[in-house]
This record gives sequence, structure tokens and C-alpha cells, in this order.
Amino acid sequence: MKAAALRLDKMLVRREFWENRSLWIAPLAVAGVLTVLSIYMLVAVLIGHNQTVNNVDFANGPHFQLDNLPDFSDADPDAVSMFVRMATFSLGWVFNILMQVVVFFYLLDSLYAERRDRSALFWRSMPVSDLRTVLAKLGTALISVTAITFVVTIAFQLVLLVLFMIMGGVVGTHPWALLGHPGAFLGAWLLLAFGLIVQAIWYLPFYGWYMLASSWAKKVPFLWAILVPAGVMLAEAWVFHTGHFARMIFAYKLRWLQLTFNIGSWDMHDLKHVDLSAGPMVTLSNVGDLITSPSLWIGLAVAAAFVYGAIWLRGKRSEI
Amino acid sequence: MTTLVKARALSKQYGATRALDKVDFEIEEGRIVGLIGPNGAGKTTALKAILGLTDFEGELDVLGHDPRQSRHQLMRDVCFIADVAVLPRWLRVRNAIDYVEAVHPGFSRERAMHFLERTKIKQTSRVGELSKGMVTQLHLALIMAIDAKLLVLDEPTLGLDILYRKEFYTSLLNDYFDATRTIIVTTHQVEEIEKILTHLMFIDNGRVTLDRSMDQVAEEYVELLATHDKAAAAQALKPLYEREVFGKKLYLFEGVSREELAKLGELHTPSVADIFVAKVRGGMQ
Repeated sequence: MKAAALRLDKMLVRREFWENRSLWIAPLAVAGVLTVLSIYMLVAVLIGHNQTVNNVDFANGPHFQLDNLPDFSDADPDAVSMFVRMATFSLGWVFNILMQVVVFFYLLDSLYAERRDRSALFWRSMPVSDLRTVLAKLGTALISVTAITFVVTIAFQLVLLVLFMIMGGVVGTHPWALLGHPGAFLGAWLLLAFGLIVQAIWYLPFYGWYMLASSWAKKVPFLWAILVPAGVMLAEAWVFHTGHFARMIFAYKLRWLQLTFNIGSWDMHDLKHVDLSAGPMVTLSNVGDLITSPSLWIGLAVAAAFVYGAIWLRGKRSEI
Repeated sequence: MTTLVKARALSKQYGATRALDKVDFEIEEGRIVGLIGPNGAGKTTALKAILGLTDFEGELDVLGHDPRQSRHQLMRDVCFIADVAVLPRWLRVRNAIDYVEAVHPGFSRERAMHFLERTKIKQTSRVGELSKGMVTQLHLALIMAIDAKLLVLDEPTLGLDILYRKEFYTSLLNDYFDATRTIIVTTHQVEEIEKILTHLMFIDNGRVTLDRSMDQVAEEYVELLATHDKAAAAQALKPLYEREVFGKKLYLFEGVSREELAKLGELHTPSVADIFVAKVRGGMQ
């Protein structure tokens, strides 16, 4: 019984990846393009290095000084750890933003596409409850923003590491000394995984909202998802001349980062002058604060309401 | 006899239109019921109610479930193909089989392959690459491979050519149907299914206007071909319907004894389509 249920859930998720190939093609494509670009840059740098000086100007870009590459031969373990963390999180950030965008469109389509292509009645002719279907779709989104982001980030990081070794080897900065610090990598990856999971849970109300819009809309769920909150913001600005709702959404979107990691000192009300120099780039903050944060629980309650609405609407609307 | 579907005062209102108006019916195990009615008569609404795809008033019991409450449990024993339930274009044939196999406990891969072998459908094709007829063939193969107690077919052969339509109903009867299975089928091509039906149900204007076994239908409905001089006598027996055919009068009678009618002219067994026209037209007069 349990095995059959697990098999069913696995199939529901597989079905999502069959329909929405962008969930895995998009990150792979971006990683592929970035790999090609990196190899190109490596070759360009190496040629420049051998030809003239150790100073390459990338068409008005920032000066890239090979001489300034960190030498790892007798580096402080803490510094190595911080270096690896910075690298991991910068890459993770790129793929995270990509996957958030991909999942945004995936969820907007998740309960709308089956009505648009009139397959909803086929899916509903199978002994799978609406609850299970909707949760499988939400689960697919969560897998995408965590596991896929994580795996692609790390795979791409390993590619970059190889390129970095080649470059450092040519210049003579002993990059393979990095491999003497496996703990630095492991630590950075664990931290990245933790961050992605917290973020996914934290963003559940947004995901739930996209699904609700998807199950509600008779046309263009994108507009429902965007225009309803935009309308609330405009109405508030017009009637009360305030912007609490917009500020609340924005603050909520960033609050998890504050609660999960120490990222220098950073003032929510002055985002233009974020001071990253004040502290280390990323260290784990107090997890207790995260779990006891009212924002988390209010967010989860809102998410549950949205998802419940989406499940209910799927039962009501099989056709557009 | 087990009663699979039991409807009492089943009603459904769409705005000002009454799609179903306090309808009562029962469907018992082992029957093949033809649900016949003009467009907008309430057929699809009745089927949707049975399948748990729409709200309704009144009582409806399908295999012991209230279809509104437990659609997904019901779907273990009930299968359906509706003309509005389409397979999505992105789905690969092989994946469709994998999917149904994983989610449906009653599905048999062997049976599905057996049905698909007779078609030109390739395992690697996507639904979007198949012709309309092939998509229907695939859908039918998937559904007929499910061991269900009740099979609901709503215009199942729409878009299929004559050859395959014939083949479909033959295989439905020979490979699928047995005493423990029950089928409800709607179609506008009544003549295609009338030979396989065990029961007939007409729906018109949201009401059930006929609900009989085919044996009863053959007994109760008689067609009389009579010359004009017998017209008055025939009229006196209150025919359901009359029309001119080759200079003679063709009457359709309901519940009039054959002996009496035999005196007036030739008797025939009317087709379901004829009875249907007579009933619907008769209702309008």
C-alpha cells in the first residue's frame, strides 16, 4: 500500500517534468553557456598572459589581474573556507534567480495548462485526488528550486574549479592546495543546501499564490498573479497614500536571508547602501530565531490557504 | 443484480436552464446502456454528475460513493472517455502507458499493448504527432486496459473512421464486456450501437423519457406500414408518430398489441433512431 502510494507520487512528479522540460533544460542550458564562456575566458586570459603582461583588459570591464589570484599554498583554512563559500554562494545566486523565474512560470501554468489543452478531464479520470495532484505540482516546484538549483550549482562549480586549477597552475598560485580543504567545500555546500531549503519554505506563500492564480484564471494567469497584488498596492497608495503592503511583501521576501545568514550588517530601510564589509559574507545565524519567527508561521498559514484554494478550484473547474 | 448507479430527483440548474429536472434512474451491473438525447438535453450533465465532475441537487449513488465527495476513489472502479477529455499534446505514448500503470491499480500493460498492436501508433510518438483518430485509439486503449466496474463513453468514436468505429464496438463487446462490467455510452451514431445495447435511455429536456431494456423496447414499439384507407383506424390507436413513405403511411406505436396492428398492414421493428425521433417529436407536439 505504501509502496504503491510512493510509486504514484513519484509518477505525478515525473509527469510534471515531462510536461515542463524547462525545469531542467533551462538550468542545464545556462550552465552550458556559462561553461563555454568560462573556457573562452580562460583561453583568452592564458593567451594574454603568455603574450604580454599579466593584466588583461576585458573591453572596458574590470581589470582582471592574474597576479592578484589568491595563492593557496599556505593559506589560512578560514580564508579558504570563506573563499569557497563566496564562490559557492555567488554561483548559487545565479542559478537560484534563474530557477525562481522558471518556477514562477511553471506554477502559473501548473493548473491552467490542463484546462487550456482540455486534458484536465483525462487527468481527473484517473484515481488521483485533486489534493495529491496539487501537492505533487507544488512538490515539483520545491524540488526544482532546491535540488535542481543545488545540483547544477555544484556541477558548474566543479567545472569552474577545474578551469581555475588550470589557470592557477599556469600562473603558479598553487590552486590544487584548495583540494587539501575538503571541509571548506562540504561546509559551503551544506550551507547552500540549507539556504535553498529555508528559502523554498519561506517562499511557499508566493508559490501558493501563483498556483491559486493558475487554477482561477480563465485567461493569462500571469496577469492575475501580478495585477491583483499590484492593484492592492495602487489602491493603498491612492486611498491612504501609504505603501505598507508593498513594503511588507518586499521585507518578507528578504527576511529569510537575514534570519538564516549573517551577511554583514544590512539595513532594511536603506537597501542602496548595503554594507557587506562589516562582517563575513555568509555564516549561519541563529536557527532558533528562524524557527520562532512569526513571519515564517504567518507565511505558512497564508500558503496553506492559497494551496487549499487551488485544490478546491481544481475540483470545480475542469474546463476553461 | 447489483445496482451500480442510483439517481433520485437528480437536478442540475445552469443559470435559467434546467439541464436535469428531478430525474430518477437506476443502472444495474452487466448492462450496456445507451444514453440518447438531442444536444443540450442533459446527457453530458448526467454523465458528469455520475463521474463527480459537477455539482447537482438530489441523490446520486455510484458504486456506494457520493461522486461529489470521493471522485478519486470512484475512479478506481469507473473509467470514462469524454469527447472533451483530450490527451495532452506533449505526452509520449510510452509515458502515457507508464503514467496510467503507476496511478491506476486496475491497469494492465499487456492489455493496453494488445490494443495498441492493432494500430499504427508508435511508442515514441508524442500525442501532438498523432492524427485525431490515433489519439482516440490511444485513449481507448488506455481506458479499455483498465479493469473497471463501470465504463462511461461519451461520444467515444468521434473523429474515427468507419473501419475503426466498427472494430471498436466489436472489441468492446468481445474483449472488454462481460457480466461484471457495465457500460454507459452516448453517441449521435445510434445505429452503430443499437445492436450491442442491452438497455436504452432517452433524455430530453432534462427528463428521462424512456428507460427500458432492448427486449422491452422491441416488444413495446412497433412500426406499421399501412395504406391510406386504413389511416383512420390507425389514427384511432394513437400512434406516437406518423409519416409518408412511398405513398403509404408509416406509424410508430407504443404499447399497442401487435395482433391488433397486424390487421392494418405490415409490421416492422423500428430502429432506435426512429423511436428516438418519434419520442422527441411526439414530445414537442
